[in-house]
Amino acid sequence: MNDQEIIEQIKRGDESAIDFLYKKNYRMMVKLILKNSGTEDEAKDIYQDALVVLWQKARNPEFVLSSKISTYLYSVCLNLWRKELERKSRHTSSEGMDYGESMPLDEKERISIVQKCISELGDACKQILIYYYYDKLSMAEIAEKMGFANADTAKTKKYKCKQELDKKIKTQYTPSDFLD
Amino acid sequence: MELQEKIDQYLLDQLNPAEKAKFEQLIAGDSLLKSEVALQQSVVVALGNTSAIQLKSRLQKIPVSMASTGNALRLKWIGAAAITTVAAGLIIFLLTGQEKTDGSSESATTQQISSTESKETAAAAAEQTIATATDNPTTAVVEQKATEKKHKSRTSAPAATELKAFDNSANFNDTETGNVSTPNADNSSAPANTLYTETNNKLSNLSVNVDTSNPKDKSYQFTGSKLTLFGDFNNKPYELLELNNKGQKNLFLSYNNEYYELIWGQMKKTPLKKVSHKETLDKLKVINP
Repeated sequence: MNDQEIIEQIKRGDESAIDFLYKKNYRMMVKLILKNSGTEDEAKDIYQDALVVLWQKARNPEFVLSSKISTYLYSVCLNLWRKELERKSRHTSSEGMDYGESMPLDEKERISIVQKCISELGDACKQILIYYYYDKLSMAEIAEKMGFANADTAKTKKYKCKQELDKKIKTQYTPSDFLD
Repeated sequence: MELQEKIDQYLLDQLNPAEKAKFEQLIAGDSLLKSEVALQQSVVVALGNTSAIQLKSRLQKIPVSMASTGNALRLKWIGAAAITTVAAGLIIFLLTGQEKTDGSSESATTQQISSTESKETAAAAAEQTIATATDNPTTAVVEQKATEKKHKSRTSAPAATELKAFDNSANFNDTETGNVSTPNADNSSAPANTLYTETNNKLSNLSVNVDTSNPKDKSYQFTGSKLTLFGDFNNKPYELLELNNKGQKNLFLSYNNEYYELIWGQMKKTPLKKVSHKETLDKLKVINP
């Protein structure tokens, strides 16, 4: 299977393509981190993050791969590891201060609240909402992936899941939590 | 249109520029709507985070061999030292024997004999490693490649050269052919751990074509350096593997947790046959765990 076929599989949402890449380039990426003062666990974590980046980028219809996948993954791993080393060094030099993240604190908190509510949803609801709001799939595509009868069923399910999520967010937390 | 639906369309970038501008004007003048949009934006981001967590958790479950560099290096040193000793011993033995029978015979003949001997020794060492290293398949592959390099050089390659090659393996470049995964541009996409990726031109020159017109038809056909796979091969990843079996290189296809043997140059469209021979399967699992 060549790089283009792998990207096409990712675009179709086939996670087995990512599994294949993970195994294929594992040793090379782990060695990169090991040779730059990382541990095996850190290397694994960084490499998995790099694959998530590729997955998310490649799902975008406008994404065009301008190099080999392994080259792309290698540079993402390198950048992520550089950032991680910078983060570590900041923690050592100025204990307790975390000014590395560009996202405002209230926004981070809001996302964290919402994420907790999402984690309380059932697996099917979580997946439908991810497909719709994050992967931007159509109702027909969601119906196919989830094994629903048709797009209308998917639409109804998505509506109910979203209602459940909104209810969780709004009953568990006060509106002031979400004020900017 | 319901407000929630409008917010969804805005966040999913489904509004045309005029509608988008109008909606943004509304947001600017309504603090409640503004906070609702901000909340829904957080929902999208949080769903993205959840998706990433799910993907990472999926990857976490995949069994991968850890890059035990130190261990592999140690084993390479041992392997290199052993082969150097055996090859040196053979050369001394042959030179001594030759002196006894024909003291002034051509050194070229001696060289030829010794290289043949060391070749056999290297091949035997490689097979031995494969047979005994089932608990660490990756190391086994690395080891066999190390002995193969000596086999190819036909002399006792210095261990230091091997060590240097291994150390540089993580220094990635597009032409890298170290012991780690080689980013291949070729269509055959030989797997990272294929034993002969770097030595066999046949496999690296092979281009693969997939014909999905009949998904149920699982067969193959060679046309020159082109391999056509018939069947539903675009749905899941496949790999081509080459296995050295007692000096003979056989080609295999790994697909959907099954292995199929391919006969090089088979011009006739031939149904794929699953590999059932246990010893062959074990070897394939070593190079493609």
